[in-house]
Amino acid sequence: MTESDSYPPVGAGPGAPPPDFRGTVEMDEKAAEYYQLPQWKLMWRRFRKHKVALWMLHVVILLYVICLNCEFLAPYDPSAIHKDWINLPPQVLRFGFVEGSSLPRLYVYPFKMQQDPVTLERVYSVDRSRRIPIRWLVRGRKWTALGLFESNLHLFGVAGSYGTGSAAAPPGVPASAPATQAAASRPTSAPTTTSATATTPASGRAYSAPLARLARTERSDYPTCFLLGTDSLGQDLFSRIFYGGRISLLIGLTGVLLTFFLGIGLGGISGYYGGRIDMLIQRVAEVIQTVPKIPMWLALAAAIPKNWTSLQVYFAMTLILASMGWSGLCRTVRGKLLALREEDYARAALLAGASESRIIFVHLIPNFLSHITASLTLSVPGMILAETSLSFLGLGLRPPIVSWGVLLQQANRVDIVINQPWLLLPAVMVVIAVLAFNFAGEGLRDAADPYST
Amino acid sequence: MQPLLKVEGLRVWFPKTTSFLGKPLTYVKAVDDVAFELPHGKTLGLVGESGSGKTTAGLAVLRALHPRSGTIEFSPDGEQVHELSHMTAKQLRPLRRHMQMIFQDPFSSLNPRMTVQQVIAEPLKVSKTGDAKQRKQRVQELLDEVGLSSAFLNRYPHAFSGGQRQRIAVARALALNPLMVVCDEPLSALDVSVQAQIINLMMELKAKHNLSLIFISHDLHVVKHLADDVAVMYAGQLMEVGPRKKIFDNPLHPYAQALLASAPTPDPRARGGTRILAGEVPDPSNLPRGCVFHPRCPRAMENCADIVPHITHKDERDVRCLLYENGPADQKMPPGPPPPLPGAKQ
Amino acid sequence: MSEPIIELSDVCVDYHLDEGVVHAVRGASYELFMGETLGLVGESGCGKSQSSYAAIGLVQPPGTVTGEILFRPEPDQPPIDLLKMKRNSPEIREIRGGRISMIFQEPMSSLSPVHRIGKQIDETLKLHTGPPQRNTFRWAMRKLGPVKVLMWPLIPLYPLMYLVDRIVAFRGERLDRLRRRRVAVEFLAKVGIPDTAKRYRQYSFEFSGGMRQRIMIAIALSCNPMVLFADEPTTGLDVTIQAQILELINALQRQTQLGVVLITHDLAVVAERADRVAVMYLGRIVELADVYTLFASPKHPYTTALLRSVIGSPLAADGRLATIRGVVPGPLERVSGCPFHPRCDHYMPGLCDKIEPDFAPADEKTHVACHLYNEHGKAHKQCSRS
Repeated sequence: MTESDSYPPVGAGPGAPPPDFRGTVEMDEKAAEYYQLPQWKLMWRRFRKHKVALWMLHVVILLYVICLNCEFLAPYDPSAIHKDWINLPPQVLRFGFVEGSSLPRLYVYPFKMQQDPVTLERVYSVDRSRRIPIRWLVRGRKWTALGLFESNLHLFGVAGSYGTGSAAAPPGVPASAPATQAAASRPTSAPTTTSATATTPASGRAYSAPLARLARTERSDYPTCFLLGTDSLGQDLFSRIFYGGRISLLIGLTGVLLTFFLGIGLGGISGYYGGRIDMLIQRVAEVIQTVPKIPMWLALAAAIPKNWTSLQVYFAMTLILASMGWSGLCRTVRGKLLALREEDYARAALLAGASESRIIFVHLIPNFLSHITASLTLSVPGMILAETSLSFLGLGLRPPIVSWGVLLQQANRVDIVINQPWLLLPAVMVVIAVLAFNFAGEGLRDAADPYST
Repeated sequence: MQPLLKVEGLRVWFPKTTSFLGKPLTYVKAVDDVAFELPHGKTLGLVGESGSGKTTAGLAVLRALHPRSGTIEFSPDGEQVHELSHMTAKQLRPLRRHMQMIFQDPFSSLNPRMTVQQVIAEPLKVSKTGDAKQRKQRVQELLDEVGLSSAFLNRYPHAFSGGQRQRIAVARALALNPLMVVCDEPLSALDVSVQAQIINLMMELKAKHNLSLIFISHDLHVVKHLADDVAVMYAGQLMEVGPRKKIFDNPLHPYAQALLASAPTPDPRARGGTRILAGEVPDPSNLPRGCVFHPRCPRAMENCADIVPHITHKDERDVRCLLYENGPADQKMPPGPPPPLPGAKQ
Repeated sequence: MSEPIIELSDVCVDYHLDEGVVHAVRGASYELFMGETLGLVGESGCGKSQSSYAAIGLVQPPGTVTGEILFRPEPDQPPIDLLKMKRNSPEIREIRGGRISMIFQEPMSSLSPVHRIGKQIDETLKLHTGPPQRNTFRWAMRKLGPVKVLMWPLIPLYPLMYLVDRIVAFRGERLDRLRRRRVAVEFLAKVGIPDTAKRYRQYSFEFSGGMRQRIMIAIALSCNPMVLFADEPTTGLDVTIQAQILELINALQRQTQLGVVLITHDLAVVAERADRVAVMYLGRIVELADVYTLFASPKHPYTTALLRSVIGSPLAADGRLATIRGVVPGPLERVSGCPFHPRCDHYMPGLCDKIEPDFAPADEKTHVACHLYNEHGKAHKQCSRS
């Protein structure tokens, strides 16, 4: 385990053989490499042995990748209203043969809408006579990534749909497959939806500016692929879950990042300096911790002015969630620092003449960074759940922002649970995200925790 | 020529109970009225048991703690005397390179997140000596001096055994060429055979660099081997201090006598020479009145429970015992504790 | 003093870990007679504690123990092999604490912090000296034999039977409780804890280290065992307290002819208190002799080197100390032949790195495991000379 000391041998009697070490005290390459690894790499190796946590980490990464690329991955725009396709159940993906193709492929059955002539009630039924194949890499509605990169490519879609109703659809297109496919693959030359000017839908009518938002309707004779159904406004739930996931997951991350900086900064100061500063900061943290979280969040969220834009509301929500979370981290950091401050290596750094900030940030904090990372990973699901709860209660994010909580808020009624149970699917996503984070965080904590130095 | 270190009346008191507003009511008197001298190039052995305050005294001398009162006169060049006890951190910084410390526990004295290279170069980096290349060279030199191979530079401390880590700690302590090194029980956590290696190493380096050591230990044999002067502490107070030969051959203070008699010798022919000292080390927040040793002292007199003895000078040593006190002419310390220093932590 | 009360023969303790097999003890053999103190010396990692854990069945899986440990509580009865007993069986539990006791190293953490110390002494007394606890349910199960599997619907009767047992035994228990308390207080006084009535009801954190070690000794000796394993009892204690504790163990030993195995790394302690000394290195006993012979004329090169590096021993120099070259190999490393040969001054190439020396008598006072003292070595010297 250890290499032979190169200190010159003393006390070797006369006739003793020269000090070349016979015997198995040489360290092999692998062990030598092991001892050169920094702590985080060792932690990663331990984490990898924990199979469940590793898989859950993959799930977390997958969730983030999916939600950050939701424009490309989702077939429809989240706010696209399909006024003719409201409250539809999910169109289940099937695998089989479709006309026009020799190999089996994924397809969906389209819906048929019939209007009862007497009651004017719309009845939807699955039309099993036609099979609409799922096409990959279709051109649809335009999207921009980070304001830089524009494209209108979507991962999958159904021929003939534009994903989101940019009202400028090509005129009079029948619902036959080849023609619509050709139409679909032609890049649209229409401007994007946010233009305030009137755009001509297929029917040829012009809409005035205030109604332009409502003009994001789609033609009813186009085939649809609502993989998870639609809600009462005719918005595709599948796409909305993705877009909502982006907001929910990012709120978790940014909230945790804010907590991180606040907690470490304040905890570091109070732990190292002690005395009055410590007392002050800790009392503030304690007061914040004793205030019951949910009523406080409700109060703060209700105090957000109604005329703020979605982005402002989003940042305000992040701040609100982080404002309560930092106190726990602050106490942990302070406790750790109080203990570590008395450690010999911190004293040695002090005796070498290091400044206090150097001791805190270079010597002490890296020593429990792994612990902090683990506990932060474990607090992300708390943030996600908090945001979901608040939005569900109607007090956090509100439409038109989409988040999982907002989606669940619209599913907040008994008749929806009975008649349109697919609208509860965002809850499943929340569960998956929270479970994945919890498992991954636990694995990280186990890998970081009983740490043999 | 001034001695390298001269300590007078050093007191380090930690507040134990405080009033509601934060004013301390009772203290833990970790170090109470300690005085000694360390000439250039000599080794002072500071012996005592747990609770004797020897580690606290070592830390106070290095100004890793803020003493309540007393004077610490440090003179690196022998001429100019710096009074350390009320210096601020900023004033102390240029002096820190002259005094370093080696800690007791080799497993916690090295930062587990730093490689050996970083650990040894840290004092150099902090004091801004030399550029990166010169630092690397100096680290290499230091590793050679302590007998470790340069393959160890990129390894983390958990790769090493206790003895090797202690060597790394020695290398770190020597990085800035200090004049005084306080060694706080550097051998207690090590195996017997490794202790011998480290003792040899320290003796060699001491001779080579003309270091002055304050060697804190509870092992009397090691102190006998290494030290020039010996100071015996008990419950935060200095009981006896003087040349090594005098103290080991003829200890005056009853505690020193008991300590030497209790320490076992690794020689079975010396069996039966141990005398047992009854009683326990006192609780530092609740020390006995009068002489702190009197409850356990085999030669206690009636007034030992009432009078705190002053330090008397007898036979080349300073002893704190009523047996040797003769009168005001022999007193070195004025009665009563001096007032706390301005700015001392209350 | 004819027959030893404990006799270890070729005891091996192995731990089967993921990284490999760690041989903690490789073939240790020693004997302990009544009333004597055997000092077991070695550096950290040499297996001295593990060999004593093997004797009282404290080696947990993944550790395995092979070999033979004979315990002779009565001189005319055949000896009991402690290794044949199943782990945690009633037989070994009767011996552990009652006949063979152990005290551990860290007095700060060896006592339970949530129980009063009186209760902790009382527990040992209850287990070993009290009347056997009534347990009608267990008696019934044993009597029924294999049929008991069919009686599973009667499981709810168990709490009732337990209650009946407790009620019936209540009065007898009270008398026994008083007796135990008397014995415990007596022992606390015997180990030198003042003010026993008050201290009996205190918790362990109210005591200092030396006091806690005394309480440990009281717990260990309260049932008058025949053998005491003292695993580093004074490491971590002050010198004056150390002397007190060792003197206490000696005094109690003289009273009851207790056999003590004193495990320590401190040669000074062993020189003061032991009658015979066994030196261990890497799981093997390399030398076993009485204390005067060992310190005056050590045979094994490791013992010699060790004595030369300890300050104050008769072989240590005054100036520069002699050191042992090299380092102790790690727990997973294998050394061929004699484990000490990479660091030995008297290494004989061709012999020491190939054949492991047996632990055999070198003269009438010493047992050594070294080729210098057996026929292999003599033959080798003959060959190399000729």
